[in-house]
Amino acid sequence: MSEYLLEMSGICKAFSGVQALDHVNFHIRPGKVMCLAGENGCGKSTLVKIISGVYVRDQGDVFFQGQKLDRITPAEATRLGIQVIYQDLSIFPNLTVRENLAINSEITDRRRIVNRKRWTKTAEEALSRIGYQIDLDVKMGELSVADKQLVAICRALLFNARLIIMDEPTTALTKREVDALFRTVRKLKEEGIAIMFISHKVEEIFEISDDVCIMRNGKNVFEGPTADLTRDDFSYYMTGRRIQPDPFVPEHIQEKPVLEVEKLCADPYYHDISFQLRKGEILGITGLLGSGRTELAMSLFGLIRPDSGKILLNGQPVSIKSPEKAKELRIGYVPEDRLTEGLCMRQPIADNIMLASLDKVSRRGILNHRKLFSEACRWVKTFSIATDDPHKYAQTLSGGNQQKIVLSKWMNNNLDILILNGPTVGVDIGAKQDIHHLVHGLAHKGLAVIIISDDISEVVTNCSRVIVMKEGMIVGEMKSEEITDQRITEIIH
Amino acid sequence: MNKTAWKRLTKRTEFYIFIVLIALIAGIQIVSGGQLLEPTTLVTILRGMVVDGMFALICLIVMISGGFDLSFPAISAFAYSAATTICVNQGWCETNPLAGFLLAILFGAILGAFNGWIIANFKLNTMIVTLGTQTFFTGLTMGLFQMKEITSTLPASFRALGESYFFEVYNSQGQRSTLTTSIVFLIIMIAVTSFVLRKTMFGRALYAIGGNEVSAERAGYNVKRIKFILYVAVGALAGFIGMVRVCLARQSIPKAMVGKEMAIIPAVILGGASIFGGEGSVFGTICAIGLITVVSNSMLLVGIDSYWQNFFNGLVILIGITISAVQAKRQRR
Amino acid sequence: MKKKLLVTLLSAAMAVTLGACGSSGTASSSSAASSEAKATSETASVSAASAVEAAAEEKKAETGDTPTIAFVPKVMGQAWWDYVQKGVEEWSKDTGYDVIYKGPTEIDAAAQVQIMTDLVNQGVDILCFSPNDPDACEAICKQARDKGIIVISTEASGMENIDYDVEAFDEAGMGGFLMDQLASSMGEEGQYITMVGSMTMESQNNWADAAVARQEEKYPNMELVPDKRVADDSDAEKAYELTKQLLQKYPDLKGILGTGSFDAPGAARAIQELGLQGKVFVISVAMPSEVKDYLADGTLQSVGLWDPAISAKVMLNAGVDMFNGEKIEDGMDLQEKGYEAVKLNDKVIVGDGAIAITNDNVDDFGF
Repeated sequence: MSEYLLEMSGICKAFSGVQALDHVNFHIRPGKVMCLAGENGCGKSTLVKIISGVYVRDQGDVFFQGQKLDRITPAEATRLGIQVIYQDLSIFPNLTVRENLAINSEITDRRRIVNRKRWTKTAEEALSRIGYQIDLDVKMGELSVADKQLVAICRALLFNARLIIMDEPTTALTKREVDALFRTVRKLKEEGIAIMFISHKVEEIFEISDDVCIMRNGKNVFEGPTADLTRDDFSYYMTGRRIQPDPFVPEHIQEKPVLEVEKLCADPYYHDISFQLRKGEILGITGLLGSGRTELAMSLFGLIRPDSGKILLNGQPVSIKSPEKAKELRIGYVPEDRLTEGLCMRQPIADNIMLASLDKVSRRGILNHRKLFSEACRWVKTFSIATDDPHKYAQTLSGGNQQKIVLSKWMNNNLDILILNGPTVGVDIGAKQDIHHLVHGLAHKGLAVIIISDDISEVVTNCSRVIVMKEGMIVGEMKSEEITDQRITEIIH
Repeated sequence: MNKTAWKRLTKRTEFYIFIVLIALIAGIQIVSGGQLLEPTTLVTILRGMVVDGMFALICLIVMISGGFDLSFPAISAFAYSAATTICVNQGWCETNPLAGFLLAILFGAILGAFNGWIIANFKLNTMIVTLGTQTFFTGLTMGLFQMKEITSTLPASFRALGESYFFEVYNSQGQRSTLTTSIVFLIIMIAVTSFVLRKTMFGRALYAIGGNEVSAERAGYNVKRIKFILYVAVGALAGFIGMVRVCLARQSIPKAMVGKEMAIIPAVILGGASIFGGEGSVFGTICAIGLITVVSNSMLLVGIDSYWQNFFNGLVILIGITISAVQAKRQRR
Repeated sequence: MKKKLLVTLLSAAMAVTLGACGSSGTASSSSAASSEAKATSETASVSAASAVEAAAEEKKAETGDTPTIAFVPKVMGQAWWDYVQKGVEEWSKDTGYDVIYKGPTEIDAAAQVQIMTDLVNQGVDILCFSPNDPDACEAICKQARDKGIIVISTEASGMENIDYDVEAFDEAGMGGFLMDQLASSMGEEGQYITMVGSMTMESQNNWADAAVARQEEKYPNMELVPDKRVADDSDAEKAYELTKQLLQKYPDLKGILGTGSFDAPGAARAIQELGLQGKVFVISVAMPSEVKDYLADGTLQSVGLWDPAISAKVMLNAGVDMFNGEKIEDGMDLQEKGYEAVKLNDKVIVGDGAIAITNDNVDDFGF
């Protein structure tokens, strides 16, 4: 018997001439966590689809528990105990937890009539596998992402899973939720279940995985125990270049604050918030989900009306009633969920870039398309957005490049203050650093930047000052030299 | 009732529609000086709910699956026009209406299959498809039957069915009214639809597809087949309901269904069905149809001028839909 | 205005027999206009019996000048126009003049104009017609008149290139007629209400206004209830529901005056169910076949209509009179019932042709 649960070697797959997978080798040990890492478009999802039977491989051998598999169908994969938890979790938001847990096995058993007792039994059995407790009658859509994920894991376990593949499971989770998820993953490990974990977050990979497989451009460039890998190597394998840590060093911070917030309150989000912001600095605001950090940012952009307190711009009290007004006051905001809030996915890249500054390329309300396009091309170049044609839809870009568009959209507008909410959520390491460099450059040029993030290392390396929020209050403020991971974590918890 | 159950109840749109319905009935009862709850008015309202209620139920099941059917009135019109024309020409159904109903169901199912085939195979937006087939089916009815109306020559058994009743009631003035036997069709359909939606895997599949079609497919449902069956069933039922209406109105008029979808679909939404699919219940739908029927049947009693009736019909729907929307928003929080 | 009125009435009436759109005049004429199918035409038995032909020959010989007459109906082979055709044949037999009765096989404006063009080119002397789309007929009618052909239309009172248009009644005539019928059923006393197909149908509402005016003038013991007017969406089922509501709200209501063709059948059904036959009376314009059963069992006493065959005969009479050099004048007698003293409004000949359909004559029409 082989020491591997799943063994794949020399896997090739091409789509209409494009080699998506090029002789990929891949091994998963039972009861171990294997992390599949790589930047967007490196072939990770193609590999997963071959394992789960959605795609058929062109070449290569697959062994499962020492048995050679010629052809994998989705049904065959399920029978073998391979379960995929997709990024969207494949749940039904309109159905109850009970139904979400039981529906798959009911369909597999070809049931015709609903039997509530049997469904409850199935659901309870599923939850008991990881000792998770939740009200079965709650609608799935009302749960947090973390809870949804646990339900999805429980459901996967019903099928005597031997291998659970999780596709970027931590993207929408807070730190605390990630910890809870990892506890569950460890529990599954103890039961001998192998986990394949797809991620590109360095910290998480080093924390949870036993083995790592890194892919780049359809090839695996590293495969082996996580212990054999340093963080620098990891970034190198991911991006193909050596990334040096590059903390933000402010050049000239102005004496006079551009923004002063005094005793700002907005029930029930935050209370008694006071701080100052100067041109040339990057201010970090961090805190857990629900600490009021996002709502504070929204108030500065006119999306939430504060109940009391003052906002002063260049010493003058202002009332920011709407995003239009904020723009007028030269305040920009890049939202957390770039997909839903910041971008029109089905509009050309060029249009997206120019969306916030259409008045610059139009006269008396008539758009000058040529000007729009040339202006947009300039930004594509400045920000090195990876596209061959700015006419293409925004959705054709990777997450990092999408985020760059959202940034450029605001850059374009001669701002004094730029508020970035979770600027690198869901972005690859390489693109992440590009974005950080961009932001540094903006601060050097004299912009006042606020970064709101729960990624503590991001705050630490990129901010000259950090405010920590907890339950709607400011609970700590640190100057650059005092900022460390540890201190922030202490204050937060 | 414990606290969580109460909380869950107040989260449901149906609950509010039900309260609005009760409040409205009470209000009209007072304003009209007790005329609404006269037994004669009640049986008329019930009668008015038969056809609209059944139509609303077929709309509901389509909307739960995340679809939209604009073509059911056109299917219905074709099915009953064809069925009655054949029955009249062949001299069928003088004593037993069964043949006519079976024909209408058959024609309805065929047109429904056409819808289902396009929707399931080409994965097109159901609203666009049925908007097209609606015109297509109406054109077919016009071409084949030239909008010919069948009234006095309607087979005797159809009339007899429409005239038959369970019991008579009298109001305080001694006027007589009857409760039509056709109410049975509505009751059976309510029962069957509830059962299918709540207790069968097919019904749960409709909710699942409406909630997340990709997940439903991954979970192992044959989404294509389920959608096809759904549209065939809806077509067949539309034909059946059309025949019930022919019997009740004692006339087969091809154009009688024109615009019906615009009256029914808002009512179904009012009843708590989500236009995005995955939500909706039989109880809420029937409450909403009850609400609309009560309103349209009591405007005269309340003394609303005929010129203003459409305004008030629209107002009721608008209020109801706003409540549903606010409700849905609160739920998302 | 008049034209629209008649088109509306006719299309409402024809809803039963012709399968046209019954709810509004515009719907009917536009559907006719848009239809592009080239309908083939049919020629009906052009002449009466050969014996009559011989007689006609004789007559021709006597006068030395017999007109060639054509009558173009909206459509062939449907009950309403079959009945008109019978009337035309009857007239032919009585007068001895041949009439070419020819029309499109389906309601189609283009096909009808084609037939009229053929007839004009054949050189008829008198052209009578009932247009599917009056505007579409103007050009050919102008040609015809330029050639000296006498052109007589019906239900097209707004047309320009005609000699005369024949109408069975005007708004006041039909409204007053319906009110007279209702009043006599009600014993000229009690509460009543008016019912229309829709509040936006001009002609139906004008008739109802005329009916109310007649009541105010002639029947002081009758009283219009406060709701005044209800609309049934041209749906018998809705008329049925409305009637029940009305009787709930107005227990003393004694009469319902409808002007749409769905009013009487629906209301009668409600009255039957409520057991109020003989206590509540309904009248409306309606097709005989629609209300046959209710007339037979006494739920309805009568409904209003006009006799299209008589209208056709009047058109032919007027045409022949003109051919013979007579002038059409206000108050002249066109030798048919209801047209003994016609009104002449510019080019429109208006009769007093509304008739009551009762249990006695309901079977005479075939539609």
